[in-house]
This record gives sequence, structure tokens and C-alpha cells, in this order.
Amino acid sequence: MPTTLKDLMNNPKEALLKGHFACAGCGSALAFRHAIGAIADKAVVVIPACCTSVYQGFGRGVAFDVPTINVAFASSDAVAAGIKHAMEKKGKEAHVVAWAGDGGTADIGIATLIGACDRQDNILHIMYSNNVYSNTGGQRSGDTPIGARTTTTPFGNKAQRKMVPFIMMANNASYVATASVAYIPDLVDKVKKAISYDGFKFIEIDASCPVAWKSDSADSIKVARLAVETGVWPLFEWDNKSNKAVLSKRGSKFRNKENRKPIEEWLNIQGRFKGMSDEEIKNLYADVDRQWTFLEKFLE
Amino acid sequence: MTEKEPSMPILYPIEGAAGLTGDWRTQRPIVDPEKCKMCNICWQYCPDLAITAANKDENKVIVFDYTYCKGCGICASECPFGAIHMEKEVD
Amino acid sequence: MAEEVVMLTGNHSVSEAVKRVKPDVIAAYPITPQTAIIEYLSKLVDSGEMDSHFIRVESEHSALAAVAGASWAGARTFTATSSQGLLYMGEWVFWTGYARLPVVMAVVNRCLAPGWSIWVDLQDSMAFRDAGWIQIYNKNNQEVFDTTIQSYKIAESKDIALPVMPCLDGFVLSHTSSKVILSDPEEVYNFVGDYSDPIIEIDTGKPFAYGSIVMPDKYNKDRKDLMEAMERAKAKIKAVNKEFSETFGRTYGNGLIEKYGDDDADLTIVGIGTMADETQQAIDMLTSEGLKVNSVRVRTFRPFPTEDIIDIAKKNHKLLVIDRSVSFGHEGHLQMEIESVLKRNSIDTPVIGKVMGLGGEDVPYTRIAKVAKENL
Repeated sequence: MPTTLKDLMNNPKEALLKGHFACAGCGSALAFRHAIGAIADKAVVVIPACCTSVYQGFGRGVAFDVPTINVAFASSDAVAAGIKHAMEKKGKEAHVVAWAGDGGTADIGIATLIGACDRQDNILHIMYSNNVYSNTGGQRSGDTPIGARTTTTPFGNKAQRKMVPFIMMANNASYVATASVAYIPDLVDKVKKAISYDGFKFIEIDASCPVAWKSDSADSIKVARLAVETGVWPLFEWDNKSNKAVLSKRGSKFRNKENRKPIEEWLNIQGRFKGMSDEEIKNLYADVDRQWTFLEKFLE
Repeated sequence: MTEKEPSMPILYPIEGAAGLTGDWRTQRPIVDPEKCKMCNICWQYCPDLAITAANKDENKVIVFDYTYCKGCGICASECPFGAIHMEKEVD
Repeated sequence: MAEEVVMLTGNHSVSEAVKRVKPDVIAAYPITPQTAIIEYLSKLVDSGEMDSHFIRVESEHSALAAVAGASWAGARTFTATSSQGLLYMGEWVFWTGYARLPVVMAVVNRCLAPGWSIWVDLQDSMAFRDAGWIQIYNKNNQEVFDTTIQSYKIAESKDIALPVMPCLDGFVLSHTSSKVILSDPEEVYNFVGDYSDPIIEIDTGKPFAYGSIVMPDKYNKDRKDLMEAMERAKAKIKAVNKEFSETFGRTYGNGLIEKYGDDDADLTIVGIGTMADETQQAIDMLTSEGLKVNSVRVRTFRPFPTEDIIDIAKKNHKLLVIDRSVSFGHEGHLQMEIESVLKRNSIDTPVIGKVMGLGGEDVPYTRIAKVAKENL
């Protein structure tokens, strides 16, 4: 049975506590609340350098009610693997999650990520992507969309988006999914499903960042929803046993281009895309098409 | 030599790790009890866990926890019934 | 299975020791001349002779990250590396030391590129002397076996809680077979003890966050505690050396240094690693010629045996320090430390430094004797 809002409300334990250090309207904090909340009783979270290393709080205590280990940037999956092996050896049950941003996953962490995937280490990597190095002030990452103005691409990012979920599919992760903060029950379903698999699991969450995206904090859900509705962020899951991708219920109709909203609707409520040329918009459309063309190969 | 635990950077979970984050707020959400249908969609989307869920059985609408609400406005933006609006904070 | 006497390489001496202490988790990445250590262990694990988890990681950075993870989870751990591999894991060398995780990592000393060379010098491990690790340098394969065992007892003491790096010279020890007494496995395990009451342990029922942002007061408190633990480690290493000697009948000086020859020498040759062992032959030769010389092998570079160095400098007339690593722009690492100790304690025993044996350059005892004579 798919998770319902009622199920969320009956969740026995919160992973995130009130009064954390995330910015107002933070998509990552919202994603953490529900994704880790769904497995809070047995979760162990490994966090490389990213916004989450900061917003957990400091000084008197932390806002995470799960064991949390903060580690060096390029190593979340290696540490998570070590923890999982140790806990298995000691006969302890745990869902060990590497919770990393797009920089720590797509860029500096990718060798470690793929290494853990090769070995089918029994861990879940959750990449919350705000498409940018938000914690250091908004520099371009490998997951930055074409056209985004970041502090290191002030005139617009030209490079194609690095689609880490596809890399993980090619590398035979046991389970791969994309999710969005706009669809919380779907996100929770995917986390719960992921931990039911043995081996290496991967989920990327589109997590709004009002600061880096230069969007209204009140629009954090709206902008994430528009990413799905415009086709920019396909919602799907895949596993290596079937080698088939399935579009998530909430995003399936956007497989058909005719059902998609114009990408401009997503662009226009984010300051980071202000000043995009027609050519950049064309290139962004092409990059989105590229993702769907790849994904189509795995869809029924 | 006395047995001695090493000094490590360990912290334990607490509410208000970042202090009373309600102080960050420049605008506050206000619920209209007449319009609130107790659907709790706002509760789901609150990154700050600053909404106490509505309870239909007891006919209780949502309640904001202004101690920690940062005033992001997601709740007002996502309410399908227009039952929440934001008001500028005045000291 | 009782005690065995075998011909064994330094690398396999490490492996045999690790086998006996039964780590829960091993993670490693290949690099010459260390690789034989982990090849041997992976065979023991896969054949079921060892009940450990072996993680075949994709880099040294991940090797140390993975064992650190396991150590946070309360496991006994092991890894090994050399040279560029040690440099590549550099971020985690500091992280592990600062985190107070009782990881044991064998370092097979090898020089650094360019150009490519696989022979010994101590530049690799010396580059990490400030990382909060205990470093113990060995003179022969028997000591390699024994030190690896002792490392766990030191690292896992709650009053110490520091990672330990047993260091062995590449090829000279790692690939050269010599007689090694492999002590009875059960006796070794009993000597080290189990690790059922770990320094730190992840428990889903008792959440804590490790390594969140810290303010300067807490940061300094942790570093001060690390400094004090290093200071305490001196007594601990001595005590473990003594206890080891009582149990197994083998001893390495006082644990921190090993002296050779009589006090009141005109010249004391201070060295480290196998070159210091070779020095003992030079001492025999020079003594037979009627010269008043002796030698000191620094076994533990971190913590540095300050008190022993003071004692030696007071009891002898001149020190010749032979280094197999150098701080460019200054001098040999051992010389640096010794001069600093003497200066701080207002001891005016002259110190002469000589850097030799870089990149695996052969330094026979005859050459050491010649340098000694030049400086008498």
C-alpha cells in the first residue's frame, strides 16, 4: 500500500527535531525530515561536507534524533560501508544511509559512490540535489542545469547535467529512484522500498534551495513540483533485477511531452535563470530531452 | 594512570539546537479556522516541524509553533483552501 | 596451535599478527610494497580462516574512511598502505587521529615520486607525524610482528584512544624473509583482549552526532586532550612493551627507544628503522677498534621520547643523528626533534645531522662507521 499523509502522521519517531539551522523553506531539511523519518528507528546517517553538516546545529546539541557521523567530503559511502560491515559483524540491525548533496555525490564523491555500488555494499545513498554547492555560497556542480547562474557561472552554466541516477543504473545498483520534495508520500515509499533491497541503493531527491535558486521560500514546493510537471525532473524507479524503469504515479503523465508545462514556468520563478538567452533555453530543452531519451530505453 | 574517556566532538539530540528559530521570522502564518479543512498538507510540507497537525475527530485546526516557525510561507503557499495567510511581523 | 618458528617476510609478519588479533573489519587498497599484507589477509578471510569483513575499496582514501566508519561502529579494524597511498588517504589520516579512533594501519615505508621509485625512505610516514597517530618504527620482522600486536593494546586503551601506525621499511623488511617466532594465536589474542567495550559505538537506540560544527573552545579542548593522550601514551607504550616481554619473552628497549652499547660514549649514533639496526654493527666494529661509541634507536617517533633523549644527551658527549627523511628547507626529521628537545632543556651536547638512505639508497654499516669516524 502506498504511503498516505495519514501514515506520515502516524510515524512513531521524527528524525529531525524542531529548531534546526536550515534556512527558511529548505528543501533538504524537509526531505531529511521525511526520508530519514521513515526509517528513524534503525537509521544511521553519514554526512559529508554539505548544508546538512551545518543545519543539524551545533553547540548545545543537534537536531537529528538518529546516529549521525559527519565525515570528509569524498567519503560518505566508504564510511557508511565500514559502519554497515561493522554492525553486521556485531549482529546489529541498521539502515546505514549516506546522505549527501550533489557536490558530495556527483562530483568529489562519485568515485566513492561507484566503489560502494560495485561492491554492493548494503547501504542507501540519498543524494539531495539543490543543483549547486549551496553550503559554500552557490558554485556550479556537476548537477547544475544548463543556464543556471551560479557564483562560478555568472553568465550561465553551459555544461550538461550529470544524471547520477543513470550512472548508478549503468553500474548495477540494486535499486535506483528519483524523488521530489513536492511528493512526500512518494519519497517515503521510495526510501522504504530501497531498504527492502539488499546491496547498494540510490535515490536522488530534487530539493529546493531558495537561497541558491533565488526563489521565494514560500515557493519551495511549487518550484519542485514544476520541475516534475515540466519534465525537467522525471520521477521514476528502477531495479537491477527487472532492468526496467517505472515512472512514479505522480509523474507518469509527463512522459508525454504534450502534458508537460513549458520549462519557462519553472525557470521564471527562480532568479538563478534570470537573463537566459533563447539559445540557452533551447539547450536546456535539449538536455531534458536527452534525459528522457535515455530513460525511455528502460520504460515499458 | 587513570582511565579517561577521550574528549570527542559528540553532541546529543535536542529541540532548538539552533536556538529559538522563530526569532528569524519576518512574517508569520495565520490560519483561518473557518477555511481550514484539516487536510494537514501544510503539516506535511513544513521543513521546521512547526505545525501541530489538525485533528478532524476532535475538530481541531492546525496550530503553528511560533517558537520555531521561520516564516518561510510554504504552508500558506500550499494550502489548497487559502486558509493560511502571511502577516508581517511587528515587534 | 602453539608457537611456530618460521622464515617470514615483514609483510606476512604483519598479516600473521593481524590474523591473531581478529579484527572485525579490514579495508585496503593495493600499493607496492604493502600489497602482500592485504593479499594474505584477503586469502585468510575468504578461506574462512579469519572471521573478518574485508572491504576491497576503490582507493586509499576510502580504505581509511571505511575502517574509520567501522571503528565508529565499535569494531576492531585494520588497514595498510605505503607512500603515495598514504598521501592519498591524507585527509583521513588526520581525520582518524583527531577523531580518536583506535585504528591500526601498517605503513610500509616507501619514498615519494617523482620519479617513480618503490624503495624505502621514511618521507611518507614522517609527513603525517602531526596527524595524531602513534608511530612505531621497527628494526626487523620479529619486531614487526610484535609491534603490530602491541599496537592494538595501545590504541584501544580508553585512556589513550589513538590510532597506531606500525612502520616497516619497504623491501628491507617487507619483502625480506628472516626468522620470526609466531606466538601462539590464543596467547596473542588473550594478550590484546577483545574489543567488546569500545571507545565509541554507534547504537540506533542511543543517537548522537559525531563531528558536527564545533566552536573554538570545544575544538581546543579536544586537541588538548589529544596532546595529553599522546603524553600518556609514552607510559602506555612502555607498559605494553614490558607486559609483552613478560608474556612472550621479547623486548624492544624501553618501548620508546632501544639503546646499544655503554653510556659515556664520545659519540652516540641516533637513528630510526632498519638503518638504526644496521648501526649496531657499526658500533661493534668501532668498539673493536677501541672507539667509545654507542647507539640509540628511536622506536616511537610519536609520541617523541623526549625524556629518553634528554637522558642520553646528558650521559654522552656528542650525538650523530642519521635521518632517512628530511624537511626540505630545514633538516632531517629526527635531528629537528632532538635539537628542539636539547635546546628546550638547555643541554649543550653537540648534535650533528646526516640524511642518508633516501629512495632506498643502501647504507651498509661500513658507511655508517665511516661517517661516525669523520665526526668523532
